Amino acid sequence: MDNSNSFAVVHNGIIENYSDLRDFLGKNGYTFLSQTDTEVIPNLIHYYFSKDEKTDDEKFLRAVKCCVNDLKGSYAIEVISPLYPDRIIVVRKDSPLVIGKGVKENHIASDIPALLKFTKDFYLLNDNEYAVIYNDYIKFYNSNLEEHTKPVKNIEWDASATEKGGFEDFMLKEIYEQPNSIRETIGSRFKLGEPCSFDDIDISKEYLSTINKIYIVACGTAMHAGLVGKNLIEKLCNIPVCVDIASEFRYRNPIIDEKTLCIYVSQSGETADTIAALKLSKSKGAKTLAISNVIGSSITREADFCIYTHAGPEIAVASTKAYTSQVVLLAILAIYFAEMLGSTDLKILEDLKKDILDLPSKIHAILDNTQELQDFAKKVYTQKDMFFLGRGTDYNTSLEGSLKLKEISYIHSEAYAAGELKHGPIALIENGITVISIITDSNLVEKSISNIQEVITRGARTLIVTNQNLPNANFDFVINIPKTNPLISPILSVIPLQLISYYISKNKGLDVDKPRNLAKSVTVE
Amino acid sequence: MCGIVGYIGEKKAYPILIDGLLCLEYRGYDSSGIASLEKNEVKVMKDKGRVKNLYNLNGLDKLEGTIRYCSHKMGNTW
Repeated sequence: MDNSNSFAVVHNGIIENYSDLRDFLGKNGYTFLSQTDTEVIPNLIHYYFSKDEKTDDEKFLRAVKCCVNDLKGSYAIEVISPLYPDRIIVVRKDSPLVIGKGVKENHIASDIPALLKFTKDFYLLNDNEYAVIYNDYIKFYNSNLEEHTKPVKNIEWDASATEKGGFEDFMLKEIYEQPNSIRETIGSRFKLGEPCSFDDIDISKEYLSTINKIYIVACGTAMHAGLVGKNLIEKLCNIPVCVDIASEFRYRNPIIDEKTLCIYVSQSGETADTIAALKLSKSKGAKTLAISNVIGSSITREADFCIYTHAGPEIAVASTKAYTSQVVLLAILAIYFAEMLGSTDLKILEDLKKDILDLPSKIHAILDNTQELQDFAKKVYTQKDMFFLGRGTDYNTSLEGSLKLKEISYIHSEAYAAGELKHGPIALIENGITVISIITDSNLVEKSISNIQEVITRGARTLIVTNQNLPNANFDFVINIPKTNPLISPILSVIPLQLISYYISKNKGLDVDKPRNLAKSVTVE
Repeated sequence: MCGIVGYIGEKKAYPILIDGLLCLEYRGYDSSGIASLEKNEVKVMKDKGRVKNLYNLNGLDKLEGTIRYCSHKMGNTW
């Protein structure tokens, strides 16, 4: 609220130059009640409003626009004023905002799921596009305040997808949705006996043949999906792939040119670091491809190419179904590239497609039998530390399993490539500690088993997630999962790890869906 | 790491808005508030903690305005 109580603002984002603006307003007699960046906005609007000598109907909008011109940073802003009680003015840059169109009413929200119970007709604002919203109509303006029309976008998500549907928590519901969300991700992108097709992107064989390096850049769980994607693309397409953390990538002057393809993965499509990294690689001449779950999200508008996971709304802060859908989509993308490049025998690709199509029923099989996982969680939930071990792509799964555990159970955990154990971490193994191992690659069974024996010798309790016939050994728990191609096995082996984290968190009595200190989409850098 | 909702229309709006905030709560959940246009003045109500704390604020149910919007944020950046 400004000093005169004429303008009230809600703001999502960060105003980077708020300190300068505060000084400026202070010199002009404005006072502040808080230390927040948001508070400069209504006062700056008031400043411009009172300078404007005209009295026409657009005076309010002009003042908002003058204020926004001075703002640096990211913002989604709504402004109301008792002087103009018939309207709300909204504008956004780098922070999400959608408008839901109703009958004699309109809604505004930071994301689509919040409004699905009211409408399926949405307007998605571009950066620095203004909307003046009245009861029964909406006017859109560009950054020069020239009015334009905007098409309404129909969103097919089902409102029930944003409710728990009989499950105790969103996370559990989303874990159980995975057979279906993966089916949605596959969609019409391939059928057996036919090449993959993406309706949504137009990548030519000529362009793809020029690519000599691929980056996959993301944060958190999406980055772990990228690690699995790296394996897939390198094996099938014979193009080297680097996976990087967005907040590291953007500050280390990565070597990128027009022969680099950069893939960005973000469930929300609003992850600030990932978007900034995307802009960086664009400026260096690379083509960019975004993978997101949210139609029209910022990242999809910035990228040259964009494909959607179609996993449906993910509400729980800890990502589950978005991860498996991201991996599935990366797998389909790798096959699509390989078919175009002719880099892998078609028979091998066809077998992999069959394995992808079989994933939903195999996930069902895992979800139908969770008793042992629940028993395990009951035994270990009081522990302070846990370790996850794996080799090859199972190491990628370990990383994701360990992150899930940290996120929702607050148990300290580390994931290690099993072969690295001897190079330091084994010093941490002591009597009674819990070690979870993943073994899904037949070539690595013996090596992995010998690593696990080393921790058992030192008193560790072990749980093994495997699809291999293991020698009769002294493991405490063995979770058998269905066999599949090792390239996509993380999609199956992560499911027991998601459930373990969930049950441990429940045993501890924690709020699974809203873990402390975390937020679903990290829109600050 | 936060979210905003808004409503303009003919219905009594604060239940719609709190509902929207609860849907957005997963984006961040340290504080929340509502601003409502009430007979030519804007009333602001806010509180720390989860969105459900808003229900306990005195006078919430007296808000009659049909234009409101809400915000909630991580941290104490209100």
